[in-house]
Amino acid sequence: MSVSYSTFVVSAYLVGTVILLWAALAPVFNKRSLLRQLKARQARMERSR
Amino acid sequence: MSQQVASTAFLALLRRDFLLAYRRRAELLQPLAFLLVVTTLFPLGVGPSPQLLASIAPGVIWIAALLATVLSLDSLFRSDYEDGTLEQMVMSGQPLALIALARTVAHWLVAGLPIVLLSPLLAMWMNLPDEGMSILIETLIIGTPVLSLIGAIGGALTVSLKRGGQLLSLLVFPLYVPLLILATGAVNAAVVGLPYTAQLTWMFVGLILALTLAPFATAAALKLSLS
Amino acid sequence: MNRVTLFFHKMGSPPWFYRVSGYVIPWLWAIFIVLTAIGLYLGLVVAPIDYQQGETVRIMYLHVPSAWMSMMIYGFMAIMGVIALVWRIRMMEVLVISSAPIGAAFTVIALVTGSLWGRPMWGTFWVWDARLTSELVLLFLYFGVIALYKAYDEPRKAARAASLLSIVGAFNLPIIYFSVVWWNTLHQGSSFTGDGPGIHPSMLWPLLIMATTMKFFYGANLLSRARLTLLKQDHRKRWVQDLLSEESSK
Repeated sequence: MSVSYSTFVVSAYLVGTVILLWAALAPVFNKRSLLRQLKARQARMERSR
Repeated sequence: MSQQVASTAFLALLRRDFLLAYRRRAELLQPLAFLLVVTTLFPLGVGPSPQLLASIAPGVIWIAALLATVLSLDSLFRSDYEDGTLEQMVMSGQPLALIALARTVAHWLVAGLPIVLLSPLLAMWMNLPDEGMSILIETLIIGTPVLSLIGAIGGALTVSLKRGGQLLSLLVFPLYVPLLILATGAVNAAVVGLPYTAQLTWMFVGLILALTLAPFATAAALKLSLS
Repeated sequence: MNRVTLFFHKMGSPPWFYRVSGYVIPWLWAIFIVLTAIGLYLGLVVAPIDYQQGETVRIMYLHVPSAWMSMMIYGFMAIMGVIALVWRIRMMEVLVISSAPIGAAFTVIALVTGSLWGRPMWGTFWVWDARLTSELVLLFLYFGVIALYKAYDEPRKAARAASLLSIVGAFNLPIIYFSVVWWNTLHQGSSFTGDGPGIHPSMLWPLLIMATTMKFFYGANLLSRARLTLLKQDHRKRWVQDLLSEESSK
């Protein structure tokens, strides 16, 4: 075996961690940008009144 | 002076195409998902025997690439045709071949290049031996731009038709045949250890020819569709 | 009406759901982290290595729970889809569509970790055996649901279409699985998952703990995605406007 067994174990858990992190963080980031957009829109509407 | 304007126009068009592509990225992922699904159907259809899959792998992967490309070609000019942008481009005075080339380059980058990047996954599914993998990628790198270039001609010819999409496949598949033969020939040769440089060279010649000639054909086709 | 029915009725209201889930989510994450820590410690450090498979058996503690989750989530999507379509409950539609990416993520993890487990074991990253093939088809089913949802302009219609598709898919899933099993025996494909003679308790505990912790992950992630979807869909409504002014005055 040119690569030891542990390389596969490490890569497997690495892939799992990355994907789960993405799944967990995606809504957080999207929510932040959505709130920013909505606040900006609200501010624009207040100003134009 | 006009050369500068032309290159600015080219870059501006590219930028616009990327922006549009980014906004419709879900749509662009569909041909790629199609690529994956179609490849999966082959083992399900012919059985999972590793030797059988390995023997048909180059053909299957290339055919899946052809099908996925044709899917993504239909919308190449359609939305611009429908909202009148295409007419504006034709009347802009910029060389239409350049505009066609810009659109084709953008298409290859968002539709053809991902196929190249996904090919190792497909090769793994189809049990392609390692000797064939690098050649497969090479054939795809040389071949997918040709698919986009020739496909753009088809897309331009059918853009004004109602059921253009179906006709498009019928038009371009015969044109793709030499490419398919050369590419699968190269990969099969590589797998058994035979020389494959002849096939790759001819594919490269095809790429040069397509690069220099296809945009003009596409331009003519666009003018025809808009007339 | 009794408290349980009242609870479910209230949950159907977006601002209420938004507020309550906001309290629940941190707890779910906390439990997830604690259980994962315990599970990983037991699985990666304490549990013995397999006689035949060596260290790579440790991949099982991630691979098997992910595979279980990929199937469980699809089943949930189908059940919630039925409720959404039959009783026209909007919250259910939101939960269905929020579940899909999570299920797809678990399916990808199951497939990739399965490949990485298979390579040192059987010398190949991929083999068309019944379970892997069904898992791959499941991934395509998830892709289809997500793509269908994104294709529609109107969110409620989109969610209903996605619900219908997941119900059809769930119905088909056992049929697909059995047909793939049959296809596999026809062609004498090799089986990837070498289930040995029963599983030792020192390996069973980490497996069960990891399986449980993933459920908390799903819960926390589902609620947080559902809240985001509600904000997006209701951004013109009063409760979101009030929320925004609440936030900015903090």
